[in-house]
Amino acid sequence: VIGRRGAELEELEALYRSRFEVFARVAASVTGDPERACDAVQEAFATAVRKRRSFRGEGPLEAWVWRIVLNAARSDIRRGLPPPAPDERVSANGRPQDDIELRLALARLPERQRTAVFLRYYADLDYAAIGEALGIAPGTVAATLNQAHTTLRARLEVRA
Amino acid sequence: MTDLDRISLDRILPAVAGAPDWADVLGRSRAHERRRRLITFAAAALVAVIATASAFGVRAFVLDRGQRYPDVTLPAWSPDGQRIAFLAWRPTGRSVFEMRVVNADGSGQRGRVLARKAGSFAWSPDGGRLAFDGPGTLDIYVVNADGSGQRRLTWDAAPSVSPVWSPDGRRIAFEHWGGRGPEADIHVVGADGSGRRTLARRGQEPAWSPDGRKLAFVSERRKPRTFDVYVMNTDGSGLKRLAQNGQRPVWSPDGRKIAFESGGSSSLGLAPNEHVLNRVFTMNADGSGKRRLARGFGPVWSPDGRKIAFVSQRAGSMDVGVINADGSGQRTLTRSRTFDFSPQPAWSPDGQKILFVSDREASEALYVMNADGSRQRRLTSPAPPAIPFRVRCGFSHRNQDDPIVSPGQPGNSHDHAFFGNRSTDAFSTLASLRAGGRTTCSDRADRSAYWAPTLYVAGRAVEPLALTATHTRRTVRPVDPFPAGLKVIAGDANARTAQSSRVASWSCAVTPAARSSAIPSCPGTRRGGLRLHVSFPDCWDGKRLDSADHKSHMAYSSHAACPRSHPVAVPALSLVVHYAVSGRRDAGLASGGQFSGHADFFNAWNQAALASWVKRYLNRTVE
Repeated sequence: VIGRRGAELEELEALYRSRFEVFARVAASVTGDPERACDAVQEAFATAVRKRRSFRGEGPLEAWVWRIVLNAARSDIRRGLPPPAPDERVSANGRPQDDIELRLALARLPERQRTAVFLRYYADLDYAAIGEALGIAPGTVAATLNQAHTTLRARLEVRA
Repeated sequence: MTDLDRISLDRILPAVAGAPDWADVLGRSRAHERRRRLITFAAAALVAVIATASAFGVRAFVLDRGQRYPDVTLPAWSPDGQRIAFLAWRPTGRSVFEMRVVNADGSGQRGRVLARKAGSFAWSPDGGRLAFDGPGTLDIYVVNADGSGQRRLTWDAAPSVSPVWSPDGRRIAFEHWGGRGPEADIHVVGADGSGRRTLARRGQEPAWSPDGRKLAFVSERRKPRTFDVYVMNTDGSGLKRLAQNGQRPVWSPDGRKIAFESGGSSSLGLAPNEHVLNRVFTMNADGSGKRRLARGFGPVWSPDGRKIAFVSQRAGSMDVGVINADGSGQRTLTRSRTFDFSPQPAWSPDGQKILFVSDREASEALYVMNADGSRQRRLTSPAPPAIPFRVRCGFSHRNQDDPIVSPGQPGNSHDHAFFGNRSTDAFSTLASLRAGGRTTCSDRADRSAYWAPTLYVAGRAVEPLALTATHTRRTVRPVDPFPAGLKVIAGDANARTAQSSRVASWSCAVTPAARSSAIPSCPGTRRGGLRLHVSFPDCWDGKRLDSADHKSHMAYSSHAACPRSHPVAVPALSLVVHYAVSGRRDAGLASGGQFSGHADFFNAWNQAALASWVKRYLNRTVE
């Protein structure tokens, strides 16, 4: 199948409107700063608009945009997942203590593993799309997620 | 295992504010495009070089397809004539420029960095400060001329670019790309950040009149993609269209006239191919008395208002022209072979000198000359030494031909994997490679044939993923491009013990610096997989395109110089074959075992394109 060439402006706009928060929050896990993350997402979409004709259609449009978003976020600042705000520690929704443990464990993962986790379990991307977004082979995505799982499990069990 | 589900991750990820307007995204996109074109002035019809970190400790880089960036651009004298500010490209592969300042007498060639990222800038009238747009989000900043006291003046999500100072130095006008329409609005803000307001809806290229009471600008409000020149009072009254189809208005020093460029159909009118039919015009400040002065673009008034310097175009090259404001006495002051970027002439404040950009020696640098064209000399050193460039060529085909060792004898060789030119076979010649077949290389100008022995694992041939050809310079002296039709083999196909690891070696993709003579066991396939490295000799005897052993017409440089027997330095070509296998003990090459690593190169580059890359990336030092 020959890839479709180019992305439509309307498709990008629809993606922006429907998925901005998902993009920005995952980007925030890279930049460590929600404001910079929003900025990175806007910059990335501006880039996508400018380069939309170079979208080859080999994978989903969203994966292509993810790659641009993550590059923009990475080129900004590398601070990793921000520490929990003090008030979250006593947050009543669900299991706040577990959240903090998980957050700390995630924060200590290498950025690529952590981002893969967010893309898979928060942004709901499939392996092919995650591979495209991170610039790695789909086979490597499975391995990356596997490693992340193993590390997280070990860390969380030690604490438990 | 704890739950890696959307709900728990949702609680962990930082909250963000709602999505800014989509219009802001469109505005950013247009502002970037505008700024990029302002900076580069041209889109050269070149091709992509894929490049990343090099093994030689110098960073190579990736170019956008069809785009290259000038090393220096947008030079401007300080009002006292003592210093010159300009933008210098940071070799990142992207459109990232830093704002530098040098002394106008040529001392301090590298210059001082005033801002790490800027797209355009302007000196304040007293020379004490500069306004610029930067860095990532595109806002207007001011900074003292010594680099201190940087201050941000605009804060919104939509980009603000192209600042210009009012003549009294109290206000700054700029383009604000809010995205509501297809073009920017013109805003103004106090130099202290106060009193921001919209001066004109829909406008670009604002220019204050010398008395500060009027603003000329261009807008495509009449017809999309066609710019007209407008003028208005800076209190917002008295809007008037002065000229149809004009761009880059500049006031004469006495404020009585406006020069502009016109012609062609242009979106932003900055690329040379859009300037093909351009003319420089002058008119009175009320729009009367239009007069065509010369063929070219980018007019700038001499400080006494008697002359206009501009970019003169003849046969595609761009030179500095000067003409009297009455249309007499046109002269061309430079003889350049600059096709890609405008020389961007700028008068010194005393009118004695003209500053311009040229790539006559290597990459773009700043030059200065007397206003009559005499005493042309370089002001800035053209940049860092060689930057490696890299071409990536996908796997093309496999067979038992070898056009170097066994020309005309198909099937007479061990099995080869071919890259680059798709037509390569036992009968290939320079003419056939140039004529036939497409190329798998990222740079279409590279129609060379590259091949290496096929890798077998457990008796089965492995189809390689691709080959990367990195070109670098190992000699002090500049290198020549490979001669057309050069044939050369590197590495020893008969080796049964370890060769010099400088010539042929193996590595894993994850640890490319760890070379070994034996095939390593790599941690993965594809991106973690096996690589074969072969380095070619970088000195040529200057005579033969081939030799009996296909090697002795070439030699390796040592101590950064070529031997007398092989005096012509050429790029040091280093090939890496990428395999999607992890590498195992039962892996071996078609030429036998694991130590017989070698590769062949048959040069069929478009020589002009190769020469351009060599000049631009490898021969960057002058003197």
